Amino acid sequence: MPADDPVRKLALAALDADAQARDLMTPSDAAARISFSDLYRYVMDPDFELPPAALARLATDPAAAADLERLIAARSFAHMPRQAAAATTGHVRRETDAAVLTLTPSRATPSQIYLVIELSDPDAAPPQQLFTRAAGGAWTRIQLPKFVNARTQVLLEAGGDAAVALADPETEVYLL
Amino acid sequence: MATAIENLNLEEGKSEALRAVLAGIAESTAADGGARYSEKVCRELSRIVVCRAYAKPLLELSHLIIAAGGRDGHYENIFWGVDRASAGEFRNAFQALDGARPDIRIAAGGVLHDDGSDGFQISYNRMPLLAALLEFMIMTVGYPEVDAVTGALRRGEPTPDEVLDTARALQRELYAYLKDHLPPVQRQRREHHFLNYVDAHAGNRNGAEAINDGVVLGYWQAYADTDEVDAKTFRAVYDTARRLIGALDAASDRLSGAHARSIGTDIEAGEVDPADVEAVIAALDADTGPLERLLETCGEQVKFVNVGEAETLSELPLGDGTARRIPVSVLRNAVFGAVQLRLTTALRRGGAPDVDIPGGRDGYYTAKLDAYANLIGVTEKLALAAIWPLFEARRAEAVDLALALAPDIDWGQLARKPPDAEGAENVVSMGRAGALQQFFRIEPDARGDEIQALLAEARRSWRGVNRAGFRDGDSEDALDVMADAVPDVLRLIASVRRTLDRDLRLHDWPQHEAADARDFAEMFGKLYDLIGEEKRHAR
Repeated sequence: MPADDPVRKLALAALDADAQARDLMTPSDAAARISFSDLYRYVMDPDFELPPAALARLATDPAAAADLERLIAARSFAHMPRQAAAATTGHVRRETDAAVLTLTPSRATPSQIYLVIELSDPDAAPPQQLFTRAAGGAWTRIQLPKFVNARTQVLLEAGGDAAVALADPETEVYLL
Repeated sequence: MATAIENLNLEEGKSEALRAVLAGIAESTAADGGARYSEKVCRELSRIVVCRAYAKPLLELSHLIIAAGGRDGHYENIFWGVDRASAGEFRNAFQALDGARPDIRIAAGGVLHDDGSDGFQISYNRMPLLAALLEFMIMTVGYPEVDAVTGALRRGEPTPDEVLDTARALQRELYAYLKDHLPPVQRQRREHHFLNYVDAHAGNRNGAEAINDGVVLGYWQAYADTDEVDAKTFRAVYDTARRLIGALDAASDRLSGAHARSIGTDIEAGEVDPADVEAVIAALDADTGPLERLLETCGEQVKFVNVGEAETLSELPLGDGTARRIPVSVLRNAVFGAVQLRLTTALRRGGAPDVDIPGGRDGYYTAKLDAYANLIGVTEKLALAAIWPLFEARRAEAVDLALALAPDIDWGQLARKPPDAEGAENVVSMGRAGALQQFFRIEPDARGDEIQALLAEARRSWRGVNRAGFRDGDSEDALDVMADAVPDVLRLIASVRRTLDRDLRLHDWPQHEAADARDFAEMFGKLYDLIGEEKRHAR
């Protein structure tokens, strides 16, 4: 069988490629990327939680973070970009045409903080989730209670990830 | 100047990102925690990537994105709205979109894009792979980029040229990514080396015909004790020969068929078409034998074949042309391959090997063939037993089994309406449903007609079996699994019988036994420093 026999060449090329395909499917030390399927579920299904390890990976994977941001941005009810300056009184207010978000420390329990969202259009289909993206790339998600008269309120732990992120003027906020 | 090892490390480093993407896709989960993409789909995806055979799938994907976009262009809702990427889930998802676009028709077998030309159809079976490919594109090229490239498809009604342009743009994006992340394919030294040896000893034979038993044994004898190539075990050489037989047969089939060639491949100049490479690997994957399929269908629920039996039957190559081309090597591997494995295991553990090496008059090959025949006889008895619960549950698979296991019975009686049947003046033919009804009305009776006797035999066999899936108290699920496994178990029985009767029985085995006992004892002695009586009985 001559070396340039087409059957021989094709068979050997197939076996070489097959070995590489199998090798690529073999687990290695490199951590698996977060799949787009999981990002989609994270955005669309409030009951689906990304495991902490996946959330940590997301913060260090700019490509996945860009995909997530695009997914959220394309479907968001409102986008509240970075603010020009930090709040000085502990009160935070972010406003867009569609909604106003305020963060107010609880007088009765200083370790807690009220997040209030009011919608401009009382007939609009209300958002169900709030996503924050901190300057460092970390994402948090809050499931929003049902809106009543275009208003909803959530009690947050003052030192929790979500409250800290919302208080940071560098954080971007999406209502979805 | 970089050394070869440094270059190799660099190449491996390049592929780590790609490996992480494929692992991410393989590990993505459905709501129940199971895999979103089947192993088969992940394997097909890696094959397409490695062979760079993505031109056609990306064209299909471009058409599918139009269909999935529905009215608002949110194609993601179909691709990721389905929980598990399966043909059934895509069928349901698309049926819910029926009427969303005038240029998309939802048919029973798939989705048709009426693009103003001949139309383009994508079957539901193809969609899991295309979904995985889209996920791969997004995870490598980026979601914003894929969204932008496919944007024009989702606005208005694109022409065939516009769809083709989009597919080509996706190809360019993927090409650029793989240029940086997919290292060149490494030559598999073992196969190339073996085939060179085959060339030198093949005479005027070509392709897989050139690989015969003499070549396999000769190669092992020539290279087992050298550092030139890793060929110390006969089993490794046999596996190499088997892979090559499969690949050469598949390559020959592919090249003898009429296929559209990929654009840009210069076949005249000796280039190999990536689509051909992908097709040959696909054919090798499809060669999964009937034993593997039966075990996959049955799982732990129905033991048509138990672990020990599966281990023995797996010695027979049932899915490809190996038994036809190198029949003696099949038994050499089963007998002496196993002996060598026991020898090397014993030596690795540091003890003196306590392994019997068959002698020339031991009749070991014929005994092995008898063992296979007896074993498949057991499977046949279990298949006979399975008729009974399926018959009792009035499952049509009972008839499939009965027809296959007792083909000589006069089954025509089930297809004829009896003369005394109501309204029948003469004997007339009945349809399948009528024949089934007649079958399920039959009373088992060992002294009755042939069908009654067969059912009585099935009931007797059923009562004599004590295996998972073959007990009266087993679950309804087990009966479903048993019914699903009927085609697989019949294929296994037919395949083993055919391999034994057509490929393996018709040889002068006593002569091979005498020669092989001597040759293998000599080789083992040389390889493992066995001397004298130790060659016969390594102790």
